[in-house]
Amino acid sequence: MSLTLEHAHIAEAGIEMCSVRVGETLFGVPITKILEILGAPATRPVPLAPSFVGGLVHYRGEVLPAVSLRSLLGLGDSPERQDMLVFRGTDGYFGLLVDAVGEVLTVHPRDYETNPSTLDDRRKALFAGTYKLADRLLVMLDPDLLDPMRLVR
Amino acid sequence: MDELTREFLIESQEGLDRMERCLTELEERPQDGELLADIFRSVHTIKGTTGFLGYSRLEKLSHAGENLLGMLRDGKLVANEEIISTLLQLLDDLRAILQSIENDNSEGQGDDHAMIERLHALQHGEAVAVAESVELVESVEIAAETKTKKAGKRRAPARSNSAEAAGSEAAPEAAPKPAAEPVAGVPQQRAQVSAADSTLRVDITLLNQMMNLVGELVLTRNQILQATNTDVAFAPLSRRLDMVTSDLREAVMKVRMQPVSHVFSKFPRLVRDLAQQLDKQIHLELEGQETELDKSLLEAIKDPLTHLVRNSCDHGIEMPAAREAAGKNPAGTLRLRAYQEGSHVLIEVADDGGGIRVEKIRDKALERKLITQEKVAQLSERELLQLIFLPGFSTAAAVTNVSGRGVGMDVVRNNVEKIGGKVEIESRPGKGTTLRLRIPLTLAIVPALIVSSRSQSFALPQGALFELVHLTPEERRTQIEWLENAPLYRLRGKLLPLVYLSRMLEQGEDPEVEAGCYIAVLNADGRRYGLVIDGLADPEEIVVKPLSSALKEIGLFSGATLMGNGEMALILDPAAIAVRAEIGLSEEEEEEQDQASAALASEGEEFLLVETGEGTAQAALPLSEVLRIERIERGRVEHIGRTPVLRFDGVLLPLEDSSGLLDDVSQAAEMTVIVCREGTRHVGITVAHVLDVATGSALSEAGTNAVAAGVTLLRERVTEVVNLSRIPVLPGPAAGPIPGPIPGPIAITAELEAEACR
Repeated sequence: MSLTLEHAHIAEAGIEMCSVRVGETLFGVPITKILEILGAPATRPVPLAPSFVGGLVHYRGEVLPAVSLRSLLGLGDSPERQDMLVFRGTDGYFGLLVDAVGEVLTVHPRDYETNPSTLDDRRKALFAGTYKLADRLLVMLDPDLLDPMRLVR
Repeated sequence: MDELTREFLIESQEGLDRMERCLTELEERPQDGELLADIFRSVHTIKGTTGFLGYSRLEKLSHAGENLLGMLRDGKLVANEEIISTLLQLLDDLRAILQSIENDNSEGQGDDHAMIERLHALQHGEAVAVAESVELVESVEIAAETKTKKAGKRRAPARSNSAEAAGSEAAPEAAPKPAAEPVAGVPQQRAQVSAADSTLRVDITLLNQMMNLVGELVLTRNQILQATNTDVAFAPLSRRLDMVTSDLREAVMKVRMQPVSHVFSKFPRLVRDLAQQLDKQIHLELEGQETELDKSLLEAIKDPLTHLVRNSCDHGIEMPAAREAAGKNPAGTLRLRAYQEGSHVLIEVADDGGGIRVEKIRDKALERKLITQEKVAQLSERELLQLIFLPGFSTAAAVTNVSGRGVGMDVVRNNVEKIGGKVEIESRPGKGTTLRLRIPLTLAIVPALIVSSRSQSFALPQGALFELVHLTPEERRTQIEWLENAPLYRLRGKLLPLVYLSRMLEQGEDPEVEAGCYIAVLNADGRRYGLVIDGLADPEEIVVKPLSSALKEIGLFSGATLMGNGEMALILDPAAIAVRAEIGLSEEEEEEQDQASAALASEGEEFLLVETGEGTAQAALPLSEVLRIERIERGRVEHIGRTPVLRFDGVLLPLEDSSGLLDDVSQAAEMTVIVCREGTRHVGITVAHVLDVATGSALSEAGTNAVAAGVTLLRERVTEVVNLSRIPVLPGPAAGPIPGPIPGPIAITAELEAEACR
């Protein structure tokens, strides 16, 4: 599903984004893609796992791999327990660990811009563009880009 | 009644029930193609199976019906009332025959000519006289009525019986039953509940769902058990929950179980046909058919197993002439054997054919560029055998009808591994090949030991676990030996390669803690090693949760689980760890088999292998003479003259101390004495270590055919057999109650020894 298509549909109505914070950056995830938000779940580290795996999390009888956005951005481990968003991936559910989950913001497609060319390649591959808010920038995250099956490649 | 007939009955009755429903609907929509197709299928299925089972009456009748239904289905005829009534009559007739089969396994006496002719006539569009048809319908009704009456009457005594048995409560419920389901023409009172009534077909997805729910229940139970451990009032309740959960789990698992005979039963025919096709003589032996396996697993191994059987027939067993030339029975034997071993079911396909020649496999693999020259050089024979599981491998020189298209063993292995199983292969040139499928009993729940490494918990499946060794900090320092950088542990005198779990998982270097550790002795697919772990927790029945594919690539974990305390644990895969640690396949298994076969061949004697002194040569004691092994305190040894003796309950035991263990003060305070029988007296032998039990084979001296005495071939080593008769007889009265050695044998032994010395 392409995001641009979605934008066209929603047009002027605005998109609801769940804002999450990792480090100093504010990110947004389209709320329709989030299955559930878990507050500070217990994670279990997986030895030898790729570095982006922040651990395993128990979710409704299943054991999900949790992608650590911090590790993906090269930020190092969080000192505190992180919150987790649950998404449906190509191989079952997966989680995304973030420092904190904030409020739901409504953004408008007219405020959207693609990734700036000065962004490093790693971030370019992870970020789905930027929304210009009144006082700051909101980096759009697309769960499809964070799917562990994609990251593992 | 055999399984096949029973299934046929259940299936047919279901088909007929469906047919009845459809026929009544057909009256309203006589041109509904789907309905007609459905009815046709029911009758067609019955016809197909009856021919096979040899029920000719059923076959003829259903065949006639099928023809008529075929025309209806193809639109050549339109169903009218007459046709439908006739079909209903046919249905009743079929039911009556099925009932008769169920009662006494015979189709019963009856004339179906009229029915068949009617079906025939309708087929050709000849309207049967209306009057006749009405009459017929009437007579059918009357017949049905009388049958119902009769059935009701006959049922009466049975009902009162069952009411008595079931108690008064059940009686009112049971009463209206006979009226609700008129039993068509039952000639005898049915003692048993009919097959269709006592079984139920359940959708497999529903069963899977039940299994998952039970899995969740087991998890919850584990958590409750741990939470209520300390609460006195709650403990009995949670124990009850524990029991009920276990029973429920077992019941659900049982529901899914089916005997392997379901799969085995088709092989006799397959093998017979293959043998004919290949001009071979193959004798098939089936063993352990009653072994049960989860239905879905049984389905999954059907094809792999068929493939293996084909392979064995085609490539394994040689042509009769070749067999005779090799001194074997011209008829080859193919043995299918199923048995349970712990939490696995093993299915063996063993042939006594030519075996697999390792060189051939190597050459083929090289030729097909499946492996490089350098790599081949490093592989052991057993590892070379594994090459046949590579995709695109086939050793058959010519592709035959039966097998050899290069899609084979890799598919077998993939299919078996998909369900968590393993394929093992053993082959000995000239003797045959055994392929073994190791299938887990159930997919969802495994007994496991929770172990910890660097304070993280892991689940170790108990299937591979053989024993646990605990080392104190002191023992850990001294008893784990290092050969360059390979840690080893002496387990009963044999070196066991060790794998440090924390190192394998790169959990950081040892912080050089003064802590003990455990060695879990594992045997995974013939790879024997010790896994060094920091600690042990309770054994638990764990519910296996699959890992995300992204994590499967790590390869060392077979899944994850939720433990009783609510924490998650990764499930270790012992075989994968062994492979990663480059633990080779141990020779032990083969050795044991070699010995077993050697024992069968030569009836070799069993010996206790001991080390008589520290670091000195090994010696053998005939096992048949060994009475017991004693650990004694050194101080208990006394001397009569220069003969060391031991006192046991007031009897004296002369000791043989060939290596001066008694005088060696550096030895520990305890020592091992093996008490043996020698003639009619008992003697003791001091040894440093007991090593093993092994079968020895006699050695004949070069040039003579005489069997050399005093030595035997143990584990490919010439080993001295302790001559018990040499142990001095105690002097004087001490020897009195215990008669001395019988002179004869000694003389002979002495003679032979003299000969051996020459």
